[in-house]
Amino acid sequence: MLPAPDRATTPRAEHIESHVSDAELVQRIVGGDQWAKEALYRRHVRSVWSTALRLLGSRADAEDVVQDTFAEALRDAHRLKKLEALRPWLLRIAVHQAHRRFRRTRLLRRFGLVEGADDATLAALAESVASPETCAELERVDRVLKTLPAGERFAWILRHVDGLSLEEVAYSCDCSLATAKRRIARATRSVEAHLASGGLP
Amino acid sequence: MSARANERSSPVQRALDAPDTAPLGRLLDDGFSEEQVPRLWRGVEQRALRGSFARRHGAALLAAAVLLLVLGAGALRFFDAGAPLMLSSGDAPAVLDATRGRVESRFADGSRIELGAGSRMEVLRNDGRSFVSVLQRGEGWFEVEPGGPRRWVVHAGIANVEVIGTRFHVARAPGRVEVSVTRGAVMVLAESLPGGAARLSAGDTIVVSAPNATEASGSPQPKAASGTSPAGVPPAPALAASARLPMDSAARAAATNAVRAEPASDAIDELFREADRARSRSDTAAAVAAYEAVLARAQARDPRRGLAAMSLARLTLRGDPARAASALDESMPGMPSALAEDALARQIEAEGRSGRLDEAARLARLYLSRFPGGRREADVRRWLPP
Repeated sequence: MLPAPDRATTPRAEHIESHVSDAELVQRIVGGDQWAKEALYRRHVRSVWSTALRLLGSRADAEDVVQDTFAEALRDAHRLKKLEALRPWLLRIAVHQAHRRFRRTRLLRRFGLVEGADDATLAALAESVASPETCAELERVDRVLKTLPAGERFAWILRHVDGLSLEEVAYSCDCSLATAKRRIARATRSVEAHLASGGLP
Repeated sequence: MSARANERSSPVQRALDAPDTAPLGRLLDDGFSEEQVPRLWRGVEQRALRGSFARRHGAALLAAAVLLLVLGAGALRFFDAGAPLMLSSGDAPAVLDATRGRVESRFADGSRIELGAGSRMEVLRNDGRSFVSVLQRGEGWFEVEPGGPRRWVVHAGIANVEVIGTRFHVARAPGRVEVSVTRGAVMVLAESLPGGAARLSAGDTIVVSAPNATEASGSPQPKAASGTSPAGVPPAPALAASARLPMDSAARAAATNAVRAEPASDAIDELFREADRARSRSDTAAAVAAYEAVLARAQARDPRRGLAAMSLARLTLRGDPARAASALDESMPGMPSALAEDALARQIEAEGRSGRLDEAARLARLYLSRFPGGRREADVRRWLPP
């Protein structure tokens, strides 16, 4: 009689055991290994999803960006020069795809072709886990972020929500360090001003 | 943390002051669920296919992997992607690792997988329509509960197994895959097999070897496990290699006597072998006649009707598309679910090429409703009116 399945042998998706490094997965993908493609996707989908969701504030848009990101990454894996830098490279693709999606959605909203509010604002994502006061404060932050240009919004979220370093923000946004700092500083001034005024316009 | 930060006690304020140590992300629940994983992956694949199609202008791809079809239930099923199949423990299966010893996993629908010591399997896709895994090393015994909505696919490197409701064993070693069936039937399709395919019934075993692992003849033959090869029965001849889609290979049913346990062969299987021999000598007319004989003899819900129809349609699509459309239409009720999507797409094209544009458009709308985001969507949409 065999033992019943052990929970240790059935880890959840985000804890996929792996004896294969990112670098090796990329090499296998370049060599045409189909399994390696999906293995890489499963390893990184959660973090790409998380970033896309926070940048865009919409689950539907985030799902599109996740799929576009991995489709592009798997197609262009041969272009990745530093194989061990896969994660930042993926993030950079995701930010680029999110940028495209953000601009498109904004334009469609302006013409009334997209309805409905975003369903994944910072306040909405904190609702089940944070206090009401924190959620209210996050709502004020959301209101400010909505008014910012895409570059400032994205740089601020990557820095203050995802906790990326300034260098990482610059790489992800495909801009210089000075530009990243400038965008973050501008966005932070807007957020702080809004918070200081009690959230009143 | 700075003194200023200490004064500002709210999490938002702390994130503004010290994003490196207290980013806002810590406060958030992204709501990522397990069911998103396979669903989003399907979308990635669709995007990749669309991009590939646009670049190659519709040229067929030669797939390295092989698709095995089950001739099990045979009923045509269309399912939307839905909830994943969970283990009976309530967990979502991701990796089954038997590195430290045999592992048995039971699923909520009654299916069971047992991995031999040292084996490892990873789940690639798990939704309401399919359960796709890769046997990375070692061996597994699979008992798939019949009547379920999902098709099970086990990738094993140079050979893949696709089943619905059967019991089978797959053992993978470098350059070699062995498949044996305990219950039900399995169609094994591999580039290295004569005719590209072999049909296994309960009690049959087949060994598929990588092309570069075969003898100097350069024409790899399936090797039967000892005790299962009937004496004096030559294997079917190898067909000329040609670029074809995996589903094209899947549609070419062939049984090789070398792997059947019993010397007596089914008349329909013999017709498939006849068709393969005809195709090996480029006698399309004889091959078409053999497939039509299968359509005439096989029972309405015999999955082999679907296989014959797909093969016949491929041979006649350009020269006689009405014939292709008719064959597919007749055999749709018994079409193996693994072929259903491609069969419908092919029927749409056949109807369109034969001038029945209204019918092509009707079937195209049917395809889009039954296979949202399907892999043949780009081809099918061509037949919708502008």
